[in-house]
Amino acid sequence: MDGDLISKRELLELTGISYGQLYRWKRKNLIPEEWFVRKSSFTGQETFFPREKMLARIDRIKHMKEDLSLDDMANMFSPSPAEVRVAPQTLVEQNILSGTALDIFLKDEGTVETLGFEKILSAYILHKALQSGDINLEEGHILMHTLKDHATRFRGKDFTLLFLRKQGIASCCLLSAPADIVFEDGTKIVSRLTASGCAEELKIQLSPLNTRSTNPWNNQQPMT
Amino acid sequence: MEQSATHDLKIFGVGRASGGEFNDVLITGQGDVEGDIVCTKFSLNGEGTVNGSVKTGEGSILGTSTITGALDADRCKIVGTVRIGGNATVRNFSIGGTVTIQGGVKCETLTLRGTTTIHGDCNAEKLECKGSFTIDGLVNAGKLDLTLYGATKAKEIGGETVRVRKQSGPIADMVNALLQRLDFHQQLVADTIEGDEVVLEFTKARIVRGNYVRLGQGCEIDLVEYRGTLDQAPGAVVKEAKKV
Repeated sequence: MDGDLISKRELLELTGISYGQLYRWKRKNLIPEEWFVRKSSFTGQETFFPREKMLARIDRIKHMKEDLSLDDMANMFSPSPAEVRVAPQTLVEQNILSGTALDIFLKDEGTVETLGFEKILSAYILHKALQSGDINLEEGHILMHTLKDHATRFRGKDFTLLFLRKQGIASCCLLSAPADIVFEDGTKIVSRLTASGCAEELKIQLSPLNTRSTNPWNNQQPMT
Repeated sequence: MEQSATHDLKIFGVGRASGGEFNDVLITGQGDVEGDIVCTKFSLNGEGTVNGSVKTGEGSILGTSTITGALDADRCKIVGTVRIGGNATVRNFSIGGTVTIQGGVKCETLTLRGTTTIHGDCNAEKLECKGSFTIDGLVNAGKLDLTLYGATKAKEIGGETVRVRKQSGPIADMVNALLQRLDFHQQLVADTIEGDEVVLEFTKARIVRGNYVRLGQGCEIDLVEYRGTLDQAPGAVVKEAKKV
């Protein structure tokens, strides 16, 4: 596991950020608490991070901070839903969903006027799986059903979607992340998608539509 | 918070009430509230217990009180002997007296006077303390300004600027000398302190890391790692210093 972790010092050297920035981003919830891994080293307890995830995240923050406030970014990285309501057709018009993905989605959902973030996320996961060519339309229904029936139990938390196939028979499962999972030989994982990854992409694509910035203090009464 | 509640909760003297949604909550004397409170203004003077959480716009707690749940406010002032059982999320938070918070604290500005104990982490953009604290978790502050008046402890401190000093002046020095003789240590003890600018006095730490580090009198540091400059006063004890 050591190869997957990066020490705080190495991280700061590699990325050129300062302690202040790191703590600031932590305060603003740009870096999740779970990524701060404490391990003992020869100088005592030290903090480590998951290397790939952390480097990718720092890179994104550095690039985005020109255009977005820290609060907006925190929103984007948070697994909790953004506040949006969008008509299904708009999503296709904005090229967020393909027409096929939306058809499958609506067949399961019935006709709806507007969609909230969680619904759009399900449709978007379906769209990504179809788009990559990993699964076919029939299998799209299986995926959609699984998400519809079970995704709510992960509300506010990250999960991974695995799409499996063995001897032409398809199946789908949801895992609370991070987890190790092993299958018998001959089982193939045809698609693997994480909810947080998809949510992040989706939030970026939705932001021109109507994301309201949800500042953590907004739910409080303004002072008179 | 909706403005739907139009009635107030007022207790003068000795009384009991149930929680709920209110406009103003005013308890003067001795009052117990069973259940969560959501209100615009929360004011408790005297002795009070809320068996639940408090969510308010403006809070003022004076006297001896307990809130068993979380405290959530835009602005809040606490003076006295107060215990909060959950997390405190307060945009502008001012604490004086002997206050214990079982959970974590999240603020924009936090002012501490007296003796504060926080069992969780403490996050603030600006943290000013004149007094002492014990924080079991991480103190994460954009700007930390700490003037020591007693034994102060934190597990970790991190932020942009960290400044720790002891009150000085002719009278303060005299009092300090007396207190020192009584074995009453006005000192900050922390495991690690990390920041862009770290200026310390009377601090005992295992590791100090920063871009600019200045160590004044009374510092005992096992390891200093600095990227820019290290200024060390003659009275500061540093076992090992590394430029990284």
